Amino acid sequence: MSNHEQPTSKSFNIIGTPVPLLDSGPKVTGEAKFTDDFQFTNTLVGKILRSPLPHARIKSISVAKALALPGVFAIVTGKDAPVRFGVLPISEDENAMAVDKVRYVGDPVAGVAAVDEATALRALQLIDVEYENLPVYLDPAASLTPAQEKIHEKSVRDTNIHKEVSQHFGNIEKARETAVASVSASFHFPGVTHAFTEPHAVVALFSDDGHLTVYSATQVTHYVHRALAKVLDMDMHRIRVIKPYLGGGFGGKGDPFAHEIIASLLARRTGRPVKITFDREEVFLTHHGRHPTTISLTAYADQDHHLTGLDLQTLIDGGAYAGFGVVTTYYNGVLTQGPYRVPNFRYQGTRVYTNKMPCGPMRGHGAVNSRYAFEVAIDMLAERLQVDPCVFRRDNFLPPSTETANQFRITSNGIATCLQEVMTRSHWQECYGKLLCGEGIGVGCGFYISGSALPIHRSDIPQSTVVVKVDADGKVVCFSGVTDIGQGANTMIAQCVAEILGLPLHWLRVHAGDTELAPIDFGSYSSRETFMGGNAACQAALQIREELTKAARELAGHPAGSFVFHDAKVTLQGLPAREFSFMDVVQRAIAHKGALVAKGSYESPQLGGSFKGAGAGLSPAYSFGACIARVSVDRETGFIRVRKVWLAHDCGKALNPLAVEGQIEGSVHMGLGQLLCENFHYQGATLTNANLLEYKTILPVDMPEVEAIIVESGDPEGPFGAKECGEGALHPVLPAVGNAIYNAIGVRFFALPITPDQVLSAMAKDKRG
Amino acid sequence: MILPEFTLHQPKSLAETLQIAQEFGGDSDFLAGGSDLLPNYKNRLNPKPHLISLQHVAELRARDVFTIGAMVTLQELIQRPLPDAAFPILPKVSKMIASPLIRTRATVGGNLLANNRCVYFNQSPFWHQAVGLCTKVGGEACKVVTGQKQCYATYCGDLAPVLMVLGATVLLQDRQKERRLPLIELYSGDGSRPHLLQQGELLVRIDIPQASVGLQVAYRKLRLRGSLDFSEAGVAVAARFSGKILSDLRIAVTGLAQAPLAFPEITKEFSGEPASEAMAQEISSRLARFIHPVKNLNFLPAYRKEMVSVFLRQIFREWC
Ligand SMILES: Cc1cc2nc3c(=O)[nH]c(=O)nc-3n(C[C@H](O)[C@H](O)[C@H](O)COP(=O)(O)OP(=O)(O)OC[C@H]3O[C@@H](n4cnc5c(N)ncnc54)[C@H](O)[C@@H]3O)c2cc1C
Ligand code: SF4
Repeated sequence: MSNHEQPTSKSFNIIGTPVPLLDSGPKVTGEAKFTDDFQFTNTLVGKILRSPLPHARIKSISVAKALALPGVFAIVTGKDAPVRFGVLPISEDENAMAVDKVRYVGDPVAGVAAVDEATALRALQLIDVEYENLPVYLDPAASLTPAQEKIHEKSVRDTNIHKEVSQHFGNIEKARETAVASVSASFHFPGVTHAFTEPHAVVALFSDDGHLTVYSATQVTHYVHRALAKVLDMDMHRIRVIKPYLGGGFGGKGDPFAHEIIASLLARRTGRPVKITFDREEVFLTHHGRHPTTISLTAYADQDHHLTGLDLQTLIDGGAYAGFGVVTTYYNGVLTQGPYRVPNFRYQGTRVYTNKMPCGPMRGHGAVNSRYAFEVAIDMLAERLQVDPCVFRRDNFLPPSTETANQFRITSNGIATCLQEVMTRSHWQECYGKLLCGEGIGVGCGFYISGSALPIHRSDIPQSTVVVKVDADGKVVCFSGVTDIGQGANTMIAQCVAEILGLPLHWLRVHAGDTELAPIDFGSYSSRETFMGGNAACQAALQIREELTKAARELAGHPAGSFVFHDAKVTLQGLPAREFSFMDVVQRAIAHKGALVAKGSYESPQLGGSFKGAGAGLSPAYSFGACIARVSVDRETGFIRVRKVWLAHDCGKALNPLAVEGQIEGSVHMGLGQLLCENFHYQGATLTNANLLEYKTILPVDMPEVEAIIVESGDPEGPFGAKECGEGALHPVLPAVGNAIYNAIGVRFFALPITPDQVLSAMAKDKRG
Repeated sequence: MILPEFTLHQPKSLAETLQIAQEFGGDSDFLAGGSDLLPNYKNRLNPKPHLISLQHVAELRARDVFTIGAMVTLQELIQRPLPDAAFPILPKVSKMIASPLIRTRATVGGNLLANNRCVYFNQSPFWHQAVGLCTKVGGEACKVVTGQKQCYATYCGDLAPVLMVLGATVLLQDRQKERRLPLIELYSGDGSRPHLLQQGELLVRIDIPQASVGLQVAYRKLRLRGSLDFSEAGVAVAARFSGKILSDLRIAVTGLAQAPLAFPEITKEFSGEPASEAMAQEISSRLARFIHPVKNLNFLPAYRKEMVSVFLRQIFREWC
């Protein structure tokens, strides 16, 4: 079967049925082992010494006193691992520990392995580091100009600019000339972070023959595998990376990290297992979350109420390292246009280095801030044109099966249905423009990739490979590199295979997230697992079914018979009806051959244009979504109460509606957090709210009622028609609520978060102005 | 971050507790629910080598309509409804404190004696290494009100203002003596050492006078989220009504200064008049002179101060 032939049967057994995730039982009972739960004999505790300075040259490091402390087994520093790494091969600028200088408050400087945590902490205090202060860059604007001291050697010209992107499609000048309405606005978004439950953790151990096994709370075992091999100078076949049960990632565990390398170095040095588990402050400092960003844009519309142009500039504060930042810089632009037809589009994106925590991918990577900006601008345009903002959006949607100005191939597209659904259910027409003062309703839309079509490493390895094995016990075992980070990737693999083989879920076992047992998959980011891993799983399962069908034909004595696989039975179609148990068919199929083993894989089709940066944002499919929110604003206190959120998401096909609803609700939670509460506060270069009391995520009591609406456009290339739902659903939430606040009090917010004090002072200013 | 090392003492009686406290003096802290003390210990904020647990001291668990033992938990205030019939505000306020999980540990005594808060204080050793030390952690000067030696850390407890408007007194005891103070006199007004307990002195219980029965009481607190967050301004109001006419007005605030504040001189002037929003306005403008929050929590001082007026207005609006 080629990648593009999909099982399209309309009546499914287990696909489309709400099933609890396979890991929900073990997580509730405590049976599930997270990385920190692994206990090996003689394990040492690893701790990391971090820089208290934002930018400084290291003149010397003296570890003698710390090494002399009883119970300290080893200390490693930058010179023990001078090889640079980084998730993108085009911008490897990280060291496991600072080699020549430190670049942010929290930058790893040394690693200690000791008999227990108290000893390790004491040892950290005994390490003497002599620093020489360097000029500090905190304001991203200051990084645009020639730098007295570049943060990295490899930045643009003599500045601290990390990446510049410049794109122009169509002719923005023409859009400007023909516009009857235009809106220009500037926005500021502070950084926000993932705030996942489980802190980063790693256990590294070497076997006597020098083989390294690393347990890590990671979203991508493959990238950790590569980075370890590179920095430790080991062959990849001498390393195994295992991702145990994982307590949330949201992008924050998507890079290979210093602590994974440090634990491995310490394990190699001591010959003992070494475990590093972060405290919450370290999680915050390690960050890799959403970039602080300043966005300026102008949007144009013509007399037919068509969006004719978007002119967008972003200044993205990357913090101290590159990470996924090149991708972020592109995504801020290229993922803004959809779900609308924008014939003329110009984008100037700049990501700079500063001496702050490194930023990276976070749910909705790269596109959340610019989505808010564009959707607010669209509302302003609609107002200027005196047209209902829903109608204006609807009149500008991309149709299915089309191409965007920058040559994204759009296939399935349920955006019109999404908007219609939220409008109907929220009684938009009866509410919009008719609510009391202080009450508001607002709308926002969005779209997102279903996996990046281009791998980050140049290679011919398929993006996902799944092996399925069936032996005499009848158990169907799936080996997959997909990384279940709580989103249900393992359950998804099991469902795909179970559907094709007509089995209940308990027949299946999934071994995933282990580089030794499972074939390569590029992991859990860019919303790729369902589309890519799912397709690979289906392909493998279809081959198994082919083998079983041959066996069933033999059993039935019907060489051309076709069979239905259902309820662990295999039934001959037509008369005379013959039925075999799944087990009988398996026994026949493996006779004289041994276990059935099949392999499926997925590779994206060739897509996109040939201009510079054409690969960014390319995806085999795009998800779409629309959101409407109702809010009340207390005009005395400035408090915003989000009363209800209707969020419709086109995920192609909900393989597991329970999981999709969970993702939609989680998206509302995360979106509201960034919009209303979450913020980083600094004292100079140091984060002052590196804990979950002062970093304000939305709490359960503050969650509004959420109506999660699943829209199924049936993607022609997705497994059973499925696309992503983990990230795209987040995008429309922020602008919908932001626009609802405007609708309630007549004040627009161009900076987040919209806290009660901001609301009051903005209302006061509005009155004065 | 793990806890620092300490010796845990678990006395079984009041007498034994006071004896241990005398023995270790300044080298010890009392441990009630630990929900305020232990986070500070983890951050190495003035930890002591001896912790004296009050968990097994039955004398601290007294509970009837007018008496609350120091070791009564906030959860108990919420769940044991009978004695609260006279003061329904107590379970109401308790529900506004911290989170359900924390309230099962958190005690009334610990709440009244919880440490003051400041962004420069409630931080880790690493943070203090990066940013530097202020007065409250052994440094030279305050970082909020620069140039001052004094500490402005804010008292944020929620029960104190409510118990203050209920006219509560506290019973304190050490090895030598027992003494009773009006609750407000427990607080020093110094952000570094916010309470006036003497070395080895224990808060035994809180008493509310019978005369407070029949007071109308309301409490509002400013916090960004509907749970977990500390008060950044809290206003408690109590008064008696006959018809619309108000008497015996009391107001206390928290989250705005180094100690909870009460304003008997101002509030007594409003007796005998009908309650109104205009009255709330008048009171607010009189209080304003005494409320000067500093920039050491999340919300800006001006907003925290403004919310005092808003809360008073809202409470009066509900009452009249
Ligand atoms: C996430 C979080 C949120 C919180 N939110 C709030 C909030 O919204 N409002 C609020 O008011 N508080 C809040 N708190 C603080 C704290 O939980 C409460 O104040 C609680 O009531 C403290 O009681 P405890 O028994 O845990 O005190 P402990 O931590 O045990 O003690 C606090 C202090 O009082 C001393 N002490 C305790 N009992 C006695 C006694 N009988 N005699 C003498 N000294 C004594 C201790 O030595 C210590 O110095 C929060 C805490 C956390 C961690
Ligand atoms: S108010 Fe001043 S002295 Fe007190 S904790 Fe804050 S910074 Fe330190």
